Amino acid sequence: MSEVLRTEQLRKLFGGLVAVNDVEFAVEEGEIVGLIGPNGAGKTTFFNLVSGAMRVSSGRIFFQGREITHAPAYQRAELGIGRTFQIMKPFPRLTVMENLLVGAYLRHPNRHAAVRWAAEVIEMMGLAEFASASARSLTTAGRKRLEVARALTLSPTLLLLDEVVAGLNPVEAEGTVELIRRIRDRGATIIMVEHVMRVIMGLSDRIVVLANGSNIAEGTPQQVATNPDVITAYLGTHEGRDARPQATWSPGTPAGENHSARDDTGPTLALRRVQAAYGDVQVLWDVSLEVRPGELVALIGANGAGKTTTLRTVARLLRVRDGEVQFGTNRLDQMSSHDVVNLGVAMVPEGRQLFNQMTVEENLLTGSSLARTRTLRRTNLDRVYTLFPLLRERRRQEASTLSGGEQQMLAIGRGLMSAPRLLMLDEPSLGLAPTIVEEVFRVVQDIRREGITVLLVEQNVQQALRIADRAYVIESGRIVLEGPGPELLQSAEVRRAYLGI
Amino acid sequence: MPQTPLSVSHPAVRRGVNAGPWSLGWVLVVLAVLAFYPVVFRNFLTLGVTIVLFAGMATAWDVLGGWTGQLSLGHAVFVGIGAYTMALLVLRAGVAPWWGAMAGVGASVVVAAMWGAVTFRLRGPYFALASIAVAEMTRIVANNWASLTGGAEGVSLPSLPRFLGLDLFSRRVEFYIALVLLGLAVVAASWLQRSRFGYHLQAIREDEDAAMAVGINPTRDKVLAFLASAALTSLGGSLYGIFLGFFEPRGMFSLDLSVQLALMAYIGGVGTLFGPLVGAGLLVGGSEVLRIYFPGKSLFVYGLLIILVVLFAPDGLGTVVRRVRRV
Repeated sequence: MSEVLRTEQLRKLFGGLVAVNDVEFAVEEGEIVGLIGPNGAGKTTFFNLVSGAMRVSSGRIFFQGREITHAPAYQRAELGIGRTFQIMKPFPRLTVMENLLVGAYLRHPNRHAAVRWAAEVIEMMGLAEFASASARSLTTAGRKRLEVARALTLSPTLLLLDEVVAGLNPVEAEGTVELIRRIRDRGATIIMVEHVMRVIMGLSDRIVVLANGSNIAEGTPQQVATNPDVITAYLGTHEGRDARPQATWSPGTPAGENHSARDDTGPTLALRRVQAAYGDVQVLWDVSLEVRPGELVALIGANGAGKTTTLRTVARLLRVRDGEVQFGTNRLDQMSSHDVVNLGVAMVPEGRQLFNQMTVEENLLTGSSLARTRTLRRTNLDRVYTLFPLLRERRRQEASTLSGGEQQMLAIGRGLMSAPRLLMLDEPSLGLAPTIVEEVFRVVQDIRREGITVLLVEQNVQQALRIADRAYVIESGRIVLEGPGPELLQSAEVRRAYLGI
Repeated sequence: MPQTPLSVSHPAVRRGVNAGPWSLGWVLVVLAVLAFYPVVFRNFLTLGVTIVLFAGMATAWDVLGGWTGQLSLGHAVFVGIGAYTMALLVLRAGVAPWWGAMAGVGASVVVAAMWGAVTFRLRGPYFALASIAVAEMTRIVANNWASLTGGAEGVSLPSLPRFLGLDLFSRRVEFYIALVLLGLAVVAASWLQRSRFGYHLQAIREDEDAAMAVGINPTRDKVLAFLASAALTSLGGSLYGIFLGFFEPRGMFSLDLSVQLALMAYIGGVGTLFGPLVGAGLLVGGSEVLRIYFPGKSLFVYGLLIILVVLFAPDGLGTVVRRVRRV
């Protein structure tokens, strides 16, 4: 057995953010190595460094004993590193056959031989019937297969697979798993990033866990699944500081009383058997949940389970394919997105989505541009500034100049500017430092104390469950579990949903 | 290998890779039909030369713009280099115009190599922007370096030696030379449609990151495409110089001319064999007709037509034909 890939002290910085942090990594010939970790752990960045799509900040990369740290991507492909792209990159206007021919020519300069080899790959990948279709006409599942097929045309020694199973239905996923085994049996070494835990646990000889850019654990699937560090990385840290300082901004409400502001007269959000899809990829299969007035409800689940999609169907950013979304007496699924906001449903999107070139105050004002809230903007602005005094200080500053935590506060503030009755928060703690995470959760509780109903989607499961009245667990587009937050915290099912054990 | 390989002659596979020989057949058919133009329209020879000449240069432009996806708005540089190198060698050194045209190709290739090596490291719209800048710089140099180029007064070609016994100032001769040039460019394009190098260029156009991931060196291949495009355009420029007989930097190196070449390809359909030809026919012929029927308002109608094409045939008129044929 010889070493195919080795990285030494591999590091990648994006501005001040350390995306990949001194990763030491080695792969033996013929191995299938699973690379896992929560969102933003640096998995795709690691692939980009190894394939040459990005330059390293420091450290070295060796392929079959030869240093390739500074080799351009096309040289690495020639050497035998094939990769797929998580955000699929087919050559859209070429036919499927031509897509493969481009790669086939690398190993077979003779046209006849190249066509022959491309035809062989197309057959093996089960894409033959689409040979003359343009790549852009393929479904997501088809494009994912095309990604793998194109990488295979290079006859790669090392194959990097970035989420080639996620988003496929169970039958397709099974097919892909079978295929990956076959590719390995033909002599390729494989590193795969995958969020579908069943798949990665079943396929991998060895698993490497990244969190915040660092290699935090390594071992057989069994060892990794039971490793406490891994469980923490996926489920979030439990800081254990229950005696948090209380909020300052709502003097009318007695502090510390979790349920005091519940207003049973408000509207209830109810999803009944909701189905939704992006194009041909169905993401929600059967989602039913309820958020009663004044409640704080958490929605948790693994990456790709359908959490964000659920919020998007409520906000009407995505059409409901089947089922109902009701808010009080209104059917949200039959409304336009701005009418939903007008009814008092606001969403704070993942990744904040601020208007970067606008000032803090301008960003906030965009949150109250609808008729219902326009007249109240001064009052609402004051309320937001009371909640986030820092934003008042920086109100003339461009949003892009704020720190990550401040930007998150601004995004939440913008959501509050529409004076919502229901606020949906999508991963508000994502990518923030632990102390800021604490602050975000404090703010979420303050908001609820104001009488605003909250539906919270979070990666940081422990924290979310601790503050939630109730929570739902979503898995592959279906609600699989419901219960009081603290109770779910102890549940083995939650761990299963996250770690696939 | 456990699978039985698909036969290369399998219909799905054959349809999946462009049927090359056929498109070459079409090229010959179209060129043969065009060859009858001077016989049929003997009173519209100047129009015919203009259409075929611009079709040739637009097809040359398309090697870079359509097949490789690198938008150049500075191709007039090569038209100008082709015209000026040829004319100055004729006037100052008594060189025959066809050798002058070859020298023009050499000069254009050198310029394209330097220009491409620097600007193709840029991605996105920067190559297009840089191309405008390079063309403007060239125009200003040509305008002010009067001792070499004759400056703003321009150059005129009073007489030329006969080419294989043919009078180069005859519109009929110019037409057939332009047709040979167009043939050269279209054959080059049909080779790009199915050759290894052509697939490299198309892959770069479609997605540069993915192209690199399958072993393609985008900078090198873009430069090569640029050289071919520049060489062909330069030949067209030399002929254009002879066709005009008199020209000046303001016209030869103008942004207008660069935009026209790009526009022809876009209107007809970029990255297609005959798109630039269709576009040239429409824009050159169209503007001629409009000048006759809408005197004074022809540019307005011209603009309107372009808007209509962009709205209703965003992939070019050539693709409309294909769509209709499929139905």
